[in-house]
Amino acid sequence: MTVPAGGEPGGGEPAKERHRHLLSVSELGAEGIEEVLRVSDAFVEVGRRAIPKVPALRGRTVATVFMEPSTRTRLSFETAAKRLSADTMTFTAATSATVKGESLRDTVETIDAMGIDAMVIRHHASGAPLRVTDWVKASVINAGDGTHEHPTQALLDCYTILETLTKRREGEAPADLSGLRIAIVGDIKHSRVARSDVLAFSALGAEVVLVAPPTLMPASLEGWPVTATGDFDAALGELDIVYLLRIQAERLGEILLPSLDEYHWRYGLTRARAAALKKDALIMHPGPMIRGVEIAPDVADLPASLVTRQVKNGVLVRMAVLFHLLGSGEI
Amino acid sequence: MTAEQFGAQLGDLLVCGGTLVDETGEWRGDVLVRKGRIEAVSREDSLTAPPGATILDAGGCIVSPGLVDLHAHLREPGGEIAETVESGSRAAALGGYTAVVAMPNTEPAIDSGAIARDVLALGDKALAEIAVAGAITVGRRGERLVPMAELAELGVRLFTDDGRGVQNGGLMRRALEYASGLGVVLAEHCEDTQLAAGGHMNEGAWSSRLGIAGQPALAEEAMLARDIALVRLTGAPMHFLHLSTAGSLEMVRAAKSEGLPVTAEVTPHHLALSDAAVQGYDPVYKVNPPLRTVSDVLALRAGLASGVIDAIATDHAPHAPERKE
Repeated sequence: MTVPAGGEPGGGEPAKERHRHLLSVSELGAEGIEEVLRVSDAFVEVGRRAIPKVPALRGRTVATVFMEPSTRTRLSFETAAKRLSADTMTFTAATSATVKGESLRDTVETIDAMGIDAMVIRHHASGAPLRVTDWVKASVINAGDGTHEHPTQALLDCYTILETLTKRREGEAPADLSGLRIAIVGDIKHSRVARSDVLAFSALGAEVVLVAPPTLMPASLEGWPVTATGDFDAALGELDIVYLLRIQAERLGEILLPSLDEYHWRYGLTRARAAALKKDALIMHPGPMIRGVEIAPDVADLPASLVTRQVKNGVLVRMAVLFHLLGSGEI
Repeated sequence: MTAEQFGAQLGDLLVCGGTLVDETGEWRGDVLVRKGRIEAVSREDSLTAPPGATILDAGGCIVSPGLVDLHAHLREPGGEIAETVESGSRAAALGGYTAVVAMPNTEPAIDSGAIARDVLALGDKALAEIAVAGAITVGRRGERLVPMAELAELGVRLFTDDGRGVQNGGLMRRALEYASGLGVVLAEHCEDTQLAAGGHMNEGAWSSRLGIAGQPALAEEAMLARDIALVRLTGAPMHFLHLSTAGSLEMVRAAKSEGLPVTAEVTPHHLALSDAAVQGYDPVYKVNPPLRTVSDVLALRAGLASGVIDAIATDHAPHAPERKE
């Protein structure tokens, strides 16, 4: 008898029907990421129109199912769906049968039975969207599952980096992210953004450095295409992009950090650290940003900060994802 | 019902053509049962059925002495929606088990003479022999000892807070000392809850990748190391439930070669599956202790073959499907 090893941890998720759902960056690969980014670009022009809408998904229904509080991601998906002329439905845990004890399965089966085309799911449990694909006919889009992945965040991050580099080179778009050294700084262990960004940035050729105290690093980085360090200061001078993650106060209670002040002192992007970066280095953050913890209040507003671009591009990239999964033919 | 009464009801029985298995090996043969007792077993030839005997064709079946499950959760009292002593004993009989240890993490826990008597009485009507285990501490809360002598008097031979380890080392020491001389064995679910930190799967490459909180091998091994030291101190025997790591196996091997009175079990799933099974997020693979790495699985198999592991115990632990989704 042999042990069914089921592949290696670095080998990605089990292959689900490709491009029907978006659960993990790993199922897209470089080619899939590039395809979504190309479609996103095509939607830029739509955003400039007096009526920023296209009929691409007219008659289709997109349901957002948010079992965890989140406003920005939900609004971003709903705006994206509306700009494609899809109908939208919103389901949030706080106002629904979930508080009455309904299971996730019953909830999503009920919503699916209303005849929807895509279900955008945010859930506190890692893997929940993958489980949902077994229960519904709709396309499932992972809008953040537990501490696992947040693929559309990674896609909009890639888009934002490429957009900024293109502007710098006066319109000449770089082929990918190769040659860039990107540090992801903060609570890597609990971050779904970090997991998706690591996969996306490295798929596009960037070199990724994880920066965190050992208590906030994953237990194992086996199979991760990254290097890791606890010394932020030593890494600063080499970085092209600093990607900061939010630090949650509950990590203190879990004895993972002594205090937020000490975190800020060792890992916060202070004025001094920002000054030690390369002159053209960029600063990113998935939001919500806690000024004074992972980033000094005034650093967040430096021209190097792409935070607002990230939010703006979120709509474009989510339009592209919805179109990629549900649309057909011309935009 | 005694074996004699059962035998009288059944009459004579010839089980023929099966693959016989016992500790000496396996062979094709027949088994003749008369008056509830095994009268003859043949090796590679046939027995003749006495007149009037029932003949059971066991071709393609394994015929073995009844299996004993050291570790099952029959959920009664309190968890009847998932399992009862009666339904659990049916499942046991279907799988070839004739004796089952019923674990005490029921609701309420089997921590008093009254509750133990209730479960023993349910066992009398079951399809397999039911040995009732008692809790070590009242309510399995890890604070005060159960009336161990009273329970021993009723026939309880195994005590454990299974489902949870005894976190307080001082209390475990007193439990072992108090148990000495009662003819009973204490069994530990080795899990330091602080080190386990609420992890849902093995801490390692897979948990990190999947974003699932991990429980390190150390959570099991740290408590096992403490308990082996307590066995050395007190001389009381101890049984280790569902061991899952290569490190645990090595500690039990060393304890045994030192001559300490320890025994250990492993579950079928820890022998068959690794933590890679969790990658589809199917909650059927969420078990405690968690499925470990491939090298742990291979070490457990080697430990079973070498005798460091004394038994395979199922940790049969039914949950209603709706509780798993």
